Amino acid sequence: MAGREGFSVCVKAASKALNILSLCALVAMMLLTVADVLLRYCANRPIVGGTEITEYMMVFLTLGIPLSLLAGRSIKMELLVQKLPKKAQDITDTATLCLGLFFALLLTFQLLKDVGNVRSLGIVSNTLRIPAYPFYLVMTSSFAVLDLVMVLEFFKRIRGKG
Amino acid sequence: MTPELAGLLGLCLLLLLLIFLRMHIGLAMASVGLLGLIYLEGMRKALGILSTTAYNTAAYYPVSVIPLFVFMGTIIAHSGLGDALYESAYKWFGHLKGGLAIATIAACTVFAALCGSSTAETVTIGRIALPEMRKYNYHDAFACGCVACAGSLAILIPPSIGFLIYGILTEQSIGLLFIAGILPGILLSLLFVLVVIITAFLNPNAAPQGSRSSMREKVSSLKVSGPVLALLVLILGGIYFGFFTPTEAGAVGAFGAIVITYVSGYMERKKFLASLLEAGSITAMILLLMIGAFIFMRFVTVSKLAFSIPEFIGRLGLSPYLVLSLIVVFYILFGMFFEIMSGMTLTLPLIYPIIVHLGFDPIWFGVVLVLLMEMGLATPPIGLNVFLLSTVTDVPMKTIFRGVWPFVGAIFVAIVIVVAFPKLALFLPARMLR
Repeated sequence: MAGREGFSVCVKAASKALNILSLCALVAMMLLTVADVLLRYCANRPIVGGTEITEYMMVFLTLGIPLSLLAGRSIKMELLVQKLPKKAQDITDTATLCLGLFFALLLTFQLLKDVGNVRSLGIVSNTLRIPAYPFYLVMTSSFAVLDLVMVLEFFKRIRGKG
Repeated sequence: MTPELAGLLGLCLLLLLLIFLRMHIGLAMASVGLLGLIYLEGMRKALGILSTTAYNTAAYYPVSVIPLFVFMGTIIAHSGLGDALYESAYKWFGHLKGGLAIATIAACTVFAALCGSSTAETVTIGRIALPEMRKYNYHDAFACGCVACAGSLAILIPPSIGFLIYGILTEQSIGLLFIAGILPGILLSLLFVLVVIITAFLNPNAAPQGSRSSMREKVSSLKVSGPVLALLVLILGGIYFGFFTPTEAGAVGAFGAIVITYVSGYMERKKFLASLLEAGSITAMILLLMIGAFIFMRFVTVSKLAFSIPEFIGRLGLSPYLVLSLIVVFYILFGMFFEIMSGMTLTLPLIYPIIVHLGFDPIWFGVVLVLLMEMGLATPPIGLNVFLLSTVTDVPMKTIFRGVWPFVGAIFVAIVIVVAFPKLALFLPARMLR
């Protein structure tokens, strides 16, 4: 029991920590873009590689996905399942959760493989030559924690607290 | 129909089943897309496509426009600027017959130009406008119907989440889509006002007059709404005249919103953090949806469904306008069950190739589609805006649904006008391209 509680606390803490990083990236992205526009029109000196920095920052925004799912903020269709008996709802919810977890695990595994591949191939951005592999790692972390969130959800469901 | 095509369509049916079983729509699209890719390309290749598509979607520059405009919208919604906008509209229009409803529509129109989310708009304006309308004995059904439908203007008047998602999924210019939404947005606002005037004329008790304000009060009410109007002119003007890309407009808009709300005393640290948290959460939700949609679209492309379905429809020899009418009816029904983000991501991979195949303008179709989805926000059985208003105001959904019909009729008239006169949507984009 204590192990499960500890697991739950760790997953929540990890999701919140990643979310803070994603929010910082959002603010930084806004400031960078505004600075780029101002420098372009006021000093005729746009930020070199601004677009690719923005693209990399976008990867950081995926770090908010685990907390968003943990908080139950998701886009889904409730109408039909609500008409089913509670037990049937639990079964279908668990089944779809397992399918989602299967997808997320495969994606995490493949992204982790890509980190190595992108690093060994030396893939960098076009203008600033920033290596791409750390950003693959960022996205891998996001989906790894998402896997844990789904495992936590799975435990909740089989204990009937979902 | 070949057995392969039938099998692939079976996978699409599986997607619908998963969605009806309450699976997260992004995860459902991604899972079915992955299963389809494994079926067509084998495990190894499918996994390669999976991770590449997921990463490339997240790091796709045009997607960056979404979090920035979402951030701008949450700042405006959390700051309480909506109160100032409504106050200003009330001072100018409140004394007219049905004036409070007209003020609500005016406030929603301006708010829509700052916030792309219809739910945020409905809750923000509804929270301020409904108590005021009740004070003047407006009928609950009419007042709530007005807010629920006027709130949906947010997804038509730029910056609109609907256009952002449509533009990204179909690789159409978001700038052109934004500009294309301006005239139909104004037309729809005017049609809503017309509904109010007719209602006030036929049944004066349903929508009485509010109090009259002096010219001094009217002018002083513009103190806050003036800079807000200036911000929206800067954003849309910047896109129209090519000073900004949509992403830059989003960043300037969010930054400008922070400055305006801070200077006018509407922004506090707590509100800023709340708006940032909400923007992050919405962005995460949309990103997962986008990743799922792009994986599913890869499957649709690899399977050649995107070509087979339009070809199949072409072989039926139906008139393009008959097919368009069927699509419109489909979206009216579909919109009753799905809100705009999921509705678009689910259907566009299959519907968009048909539209292009039939020779319709993709920008024009984007406007028609957003109008159709807008209708779904207020129609039974789900009507997301109605549901939200009912939660916020405790007015039963049944009562609100009774009040939305005249306004839903106005949306339908707007759709007919935009379909009959495509220039209404395409006039400004055409001038922008010159």
